[in-house]
Amino acid sequence: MIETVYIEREVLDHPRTARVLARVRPRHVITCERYGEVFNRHNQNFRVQKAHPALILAAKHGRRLLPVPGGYGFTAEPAFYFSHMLNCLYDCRYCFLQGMFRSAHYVLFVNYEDFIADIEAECARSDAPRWLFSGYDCDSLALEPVTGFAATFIDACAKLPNAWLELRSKSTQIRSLLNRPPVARCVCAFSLSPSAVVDAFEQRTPSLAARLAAIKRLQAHGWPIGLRFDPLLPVADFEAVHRAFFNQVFAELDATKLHSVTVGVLRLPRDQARNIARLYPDEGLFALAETERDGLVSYGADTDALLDWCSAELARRIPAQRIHRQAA
Amino acid sequence: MSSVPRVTVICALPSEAQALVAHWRLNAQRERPFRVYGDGNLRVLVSGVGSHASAAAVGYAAGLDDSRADDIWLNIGIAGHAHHALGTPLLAARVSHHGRDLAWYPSLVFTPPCATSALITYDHAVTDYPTDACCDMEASGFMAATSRIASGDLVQVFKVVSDNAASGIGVIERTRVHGLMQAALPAITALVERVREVALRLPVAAADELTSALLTRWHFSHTQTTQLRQLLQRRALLTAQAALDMQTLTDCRNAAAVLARLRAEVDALPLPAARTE
Repeated sequence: MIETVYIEREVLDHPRTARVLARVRPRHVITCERYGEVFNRHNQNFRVQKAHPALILAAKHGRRLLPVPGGYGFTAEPAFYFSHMLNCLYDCRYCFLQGMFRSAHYVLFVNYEDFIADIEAECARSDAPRWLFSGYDCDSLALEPVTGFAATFIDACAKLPNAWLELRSKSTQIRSLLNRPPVARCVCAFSLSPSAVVDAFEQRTPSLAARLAAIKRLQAHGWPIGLRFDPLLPVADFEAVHRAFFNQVFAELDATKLHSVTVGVLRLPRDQARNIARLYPDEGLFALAETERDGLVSYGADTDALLDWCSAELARRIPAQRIHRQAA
Repeated sequence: MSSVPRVTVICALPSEAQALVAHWRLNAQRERPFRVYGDGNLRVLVSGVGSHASAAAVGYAAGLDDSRADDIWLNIGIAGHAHHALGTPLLAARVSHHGRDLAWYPSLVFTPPCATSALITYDHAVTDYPTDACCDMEASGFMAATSRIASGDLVQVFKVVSDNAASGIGVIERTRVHGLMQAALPAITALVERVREVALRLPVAAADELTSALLTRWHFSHTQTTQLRQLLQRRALLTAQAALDMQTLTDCRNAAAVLARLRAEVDALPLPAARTE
């Protein structure tokens, strides 16, 4: 439950602000000038705030559409990411956000119309497909009943013939997707992990079974589905755990209808890895041996072997050209 | 680090502090330059009136002991408000100084024990109350000073309404202030407990006899000591605190050799099965 909402003065009268407040019904509403006054101040602590985060309603200025980092996604076509929200309802111990931000408050940028204008401008630059990734700095669907993000952006992107949208989520908040016809150029991508990993490292997320049930309904409804086996964590009995996991996933889902599958090991920029280890000195995952490649830190011995093994296992179940390895 | 986070309360007036000192049964420790009551995990300082005095008291208190990551700082006192009833407890959600742009937002990372309010600090007593904020003479100085030394999530400003549009500052006197603070004690003690619960979420360094034993046996530089602590912490996490057999290190000639031996062992450890069973 969100008890406190901060609102930038600029968006006090924004219609989406009113809708969010009506839905959240916070006990405390506080006006601020800019969200940076509250969010990510130098002496804040992500771990402390994560137990009781506030919601900040703000306007996003400056660059709203950014090129994806190298090795992200599955396409050589122009690809961008955008963040209508910073931070996430969930508390995954490996999440890079806890190393990137000092604050765990949720920031929701309510000026969707400006994001959409930027997307329209980018798509007007040429007829070539443009991939648009949401869910980079947040979960695309987890707060959907409050934000209406997917409902708004799917409609906007569906009008642009060269726009391809990816929603990235661990959530089961799929009602808005089931209440409308599917859009062929919108991929609903779900991050999946073995149940043991969900229980140990993905606090507050829906169970694997619940996620699979949601994906199955979306697939039956006609939505293109992406599976994201990312990050793979170097857990004990890795092969046995993941073989059973893949069996469970592909027993539930129609592999022939999957849009894409990506696999990747846990990899974090050096500074973020250091920040997270400081936040959670009691977390064994960050006590594993580190390997650094191109500025990204991975954990555990021989991450390439994990990727090779998973890629081979997946290739037994789906066409290899739909499997995309993320840079280790 | 003590298991109970330390709380420092800054009050402007002796009459504001009196109810707290009596409630917590604190003894006077120092008279000058600021009156200090209590020690250990709970202390109250009397700063005097004004934002500069409050900032100075914070600086003075911070210098009394080594700072800790889980130190809690509270500014507790009286304030005016246009329409809130006398005695209303308020937790500041936004603190600013009249006529200046800068503002602070004490973290509401717990359920407040009372209503929240914006608060404006003035350089003088106010009779023309702002419509949507309470007003005092200290909080901005307190926030400015604590923002440099404390975790922003462990700093709070708590005020009790002492005057309003119907009952101005002319009728405020010592016994009345004491009575207002006394009546607010349940909210104040609840606030202290809730902020302490927040502080307990901070990671705490474990007690460490093994590190001491190794530091005694070999000479470690400052950097090597840090590396040793990190290696032993990693080892403890990956081995479920399995004891280290000191015999395996006896042939190490120096600290560098100890570190190399430990690093080789720890880097080869997998994530324990128990972590995901």
